[in-house]
This record gives sequence, C-alpha cells and structure tokens, in this order.
Amino acid sequence: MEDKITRWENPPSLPPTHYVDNRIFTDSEIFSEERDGIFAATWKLVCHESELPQPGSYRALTLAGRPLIVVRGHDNEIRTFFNICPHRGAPLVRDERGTFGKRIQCFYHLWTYDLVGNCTGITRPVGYEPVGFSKEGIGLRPVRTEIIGGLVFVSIQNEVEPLEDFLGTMVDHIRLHLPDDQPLEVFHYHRSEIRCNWKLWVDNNSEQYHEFLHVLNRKTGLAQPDYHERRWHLYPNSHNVIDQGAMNYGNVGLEERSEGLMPGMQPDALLVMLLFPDIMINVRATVMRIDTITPVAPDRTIVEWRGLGLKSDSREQREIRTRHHNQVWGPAGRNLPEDISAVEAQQISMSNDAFRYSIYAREEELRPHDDSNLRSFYQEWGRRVGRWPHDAGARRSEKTELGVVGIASE
Amino acid sequence: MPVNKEQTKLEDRETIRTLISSSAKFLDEGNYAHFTELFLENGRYLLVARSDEIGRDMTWLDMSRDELVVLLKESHQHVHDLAERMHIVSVDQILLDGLDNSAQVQSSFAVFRTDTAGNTQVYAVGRYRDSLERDGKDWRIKERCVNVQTRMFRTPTPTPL
Ligand code: FES
Ligand SMILES: [Fe+2]
Repeated sequence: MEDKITRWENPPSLPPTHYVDNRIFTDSEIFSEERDGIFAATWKLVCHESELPQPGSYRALTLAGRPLIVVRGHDNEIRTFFNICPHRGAPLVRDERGTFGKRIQCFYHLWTYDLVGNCTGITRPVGYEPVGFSKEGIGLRPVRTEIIGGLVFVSIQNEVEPLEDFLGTMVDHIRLHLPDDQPLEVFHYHRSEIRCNWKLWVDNNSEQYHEFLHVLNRKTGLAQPDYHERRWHLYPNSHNVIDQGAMNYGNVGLEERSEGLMPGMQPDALLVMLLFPDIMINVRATVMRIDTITPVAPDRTIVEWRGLGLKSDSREQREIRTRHHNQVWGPAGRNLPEDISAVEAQQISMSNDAFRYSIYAREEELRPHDDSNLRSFYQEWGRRVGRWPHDAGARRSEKTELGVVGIASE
Repeated sequence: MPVNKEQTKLEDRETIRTLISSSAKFLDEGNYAHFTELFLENGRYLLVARSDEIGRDMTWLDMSRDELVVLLKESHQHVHDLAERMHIVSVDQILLDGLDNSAQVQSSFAVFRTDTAGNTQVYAVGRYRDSLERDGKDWRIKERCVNVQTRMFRTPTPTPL
C-alpha cells in the first residue's frame, strides 16, 4: 500500500521529457506567465480574410487581454488596432463584426478616425488650442498584422519575428492547403467555453492516440490497414503535421469523400496540423476546420471553431461540405462532445493536486500514436514560459534543453 | 365523432399540440424510437443557427428521418453527457391549410440541463418551425427546423434539441 501511494505521488520513472507535472494546467501564476510569454509574445490567428469581405469590414476580439479590431481598409489592406479610443478609452466598436463607412467614430465624445488609424476629427477642438493639442498628435494604436493563405495573424509584440520565419516549413503546408489562387471561405463559426486548461484542448486535438475515444474514428480510421504507416513531421517552434491517411466513411454508413476535394487533399484523407501555440487545422478531404483558443483562466478556455470551404463553391458543393463538416464536427457533431467530456474530466482530476503527473511516453517512430508531437509542444511551452513541464515549481535558467524530445525533427 | 368542420379543426389543433409536446417529452426521456416515429418516412430534421461573428446563417444538422434513426441508434455507443434535459415548449401558432391536410406550426422552446450533482441551467432556447401533414387519423412531421438562438453550449451534443 505504502509503495503504491509513493509511486502515485512521485514522478514516474521515465525521462523528464516523457511526463508532465499537472500543475502546469492548474496554477494561476503559470497562467499569467503564459499570457505574457506566449499569447502576448507571438503570432495569433484572429480570423480568416473572408470574414472581412469588403472595404470597411471589421472583426472585434480580445488577445491576451487586449481588445482589438481587425479592419479592411478602403485600400483593401487588412490592419489591426487596439479597440480603444485614445481620448479616454471607450471602445471603438461594441459588437463582434460590422462595416465602417469612411470613418470610425467613437460613441463617447464622437472623435473620428480613418481606417488607417489617423485621427480625423476632434469635437470642439477649440478647447484644446490653449495647450496646443490637436488631432495630428494622436491616433489609433496599430498592431502587427500579417496574412498567409488568407489567415490573418496579429501580434501585440511589435518586435516579433516575421510570421514566415516563425512558421518556418509550415508555410509550405499552409500554401498547399490554403493556396492564394483558390481562396477559402468560412461558412461555419461557433465557440464554447470549456472547463479545462487551454493546453489540454491543444493536446487533445493534436493527439492521434485518443482516436480510441471516438466510435467514429475507431470504425473509420483505426481499422484502416495502413493507419500506422503515416508519420508525424515535427518542426521548429513546435509546429507539426501528420501525413494524410484515408478514412473509411462507409464503415459508419456515410458517403465517401472523393469529389470536391479541398486543395492538396487526397480522397477520404484526414490531415491534422498544429501551428504553435493554439491553431489546429484539420482537413477531412472535402472540408477544413480551424480551431483557435482564448485562455480565460487556468481551468477555462474559449475555443472557436471555423468550418471552411472554397470561396468558389457552388450552392450544391457548399451543401455537401457543410454536411461533411457536420457529420463529425460542429456543435451537433459526433466527436466534439466526446473530446470535451475527456478534457473536462482530466481537469477535475488535476485540480487540488489529486493527480500530479500525466504520461507522454509513447515512442512509435513518429507513427500516429507516438507522443513526440505532444512532448515537443510541452518543451516549447516550457522554453517560452521559463518553466520545466515535468516540474512546474522549478524555473529554468536560460535556454537549457532536455535534449531528446523523442526523435529528432526534420 | 366530430359533428362539424369547426370541431374537426379544434380536434386537429389539439392533436397537433400533443404531437409537439410529445416530441419534446420523447427526447427528454431518451425515447428516440418514438421520437423518430413522429416523422413521416420522408421527414427531415434541421438544426440551424445564426452566427453574428461571421454574419451568416448556419446549418448544424440536416438529416432525413432514416439518418436520424441511425444517429440516435448509435448514440449509446458514444461517450455522452450524463446530464438530464427537460424541454419547456409552448406552441405559438398553428396554421392549417385550406383542406386541413397540412399545417405550419411555430413553437418556442427552452431546454434545461440538470447535471449529475443536481444543478440546473438553461441549456438552449429557440424556436421549432414544423411542417406537418395529416397521416390518416394522426398528424406527423414532414420537416422540423430547429432555429436555435443559443450558440455557446455548455456541453455540445448530437442529440436533437
Ligand atoms: S473616449 Fe472616444 S471620443 Fe472620448
Ligand atoms: Fe478527438
């Protein structure tokens, strides 16, 4: 009995890369370090350009606690600003989405701005004349914005490395699956607040081993003869992608997906990729899904789900994509409730220190059920927040590495 | 036995009200076989919502009765929400066609979710827009379109609302 309890409380006898101290999912100090060290320090996908269909279109959102608006200018350029009026801090817009005319007008004292961020009008400016203050001396706070494959990324860290450098090899995968000459379009959007740490959602979505959880995946994927022949490809900054593999939808009475394939996809194939830290792109042959995350608290996470087809889709084609999307995904899909049940239950076990260590020890030469991609994710996380994933209490000095994540990346 | 047309209409309306409330009750009880029997053979079930974020109407489910039967038959194989659900439905409008052989019905609904610890919360609200057809003595659903206003679900599920 003693022995069994000690075994439960002590770190597992595995290399330190192969398990995680669960306090990284529950600790509020670590949570704020992540906000500064990851979400405020790197690139974040905020929307797809099809969500800003015309000059003047805007989307409002929050990144690492900062309210932002993404705006398509009259020059068609997409820019991002703090959604804050520089006068006294009223929000420039109060809704999620809309279209500006020529100007953005603050609702409080009616100052106006153009879509490039210049202040174009101050009400009753005469009052500022004695102190020599005028609209020329003020404007909206710009935010770094870059677009690749129609995906709009922003960073509130002005000195952040260029997006393409950050994404590295993943740029090729993005260009293959979201090519500029075949633009995509968002047709589905929903979100949920899930009661778990944001990393558990990324972890769940990136992990292929948990396909055992899903009836649908057991029947359509795990039973496929060459299921285990695919390989993970791990890249710097912990981005990763797994080879496509064909599913057998007929096994659950669903139609096959051989026509109207999304760019770069093979018939019936499933593709999963992660852009660190939180962008999960899944393609099931005829339809794409993109998840992104907003951490709210150590045990609360808002997940946004988008479904995408091709902008050029006919009505019939879009209906097929929508159906294929909904067969598995969407709020009424078969898999989502199962994933949420799993991660929320994990979070409960981890709270109050009842369950200290999680095991990430599978080594299968980068085959689907290898945990290398998750090990790489947690190491990258640790590097950015200055902690060790296996010992949440310890701060790491400078960029020491534990070495082998599993198998070297290519 | 009905004595005149007015009485038939009243009886039809009463039958239709019962049909709508039974549909909700069967779902609450997990009695999916009875739920799907309320649909005509070529019946259809739709779940639609509006996204303010992307400014579009979305279809979340669009199934024939047969597809719905398969989905619900398999539902016990899925890891599912252990909470109980309760529908409160109010029929707002029943429009019978001239021949009294079909009807358009609009109802409002709220679904409450009671978790395993006994906490109850509103799970979803919305409207049913039902197209019904007379089927002998009974009425059955040709198409149910569930227009759901709630978009942030505490626990998503493929079980019809
Ligand atoms: S706060 Fe915007 S005009 Fe005053
Ligand atoms: Fe899953």
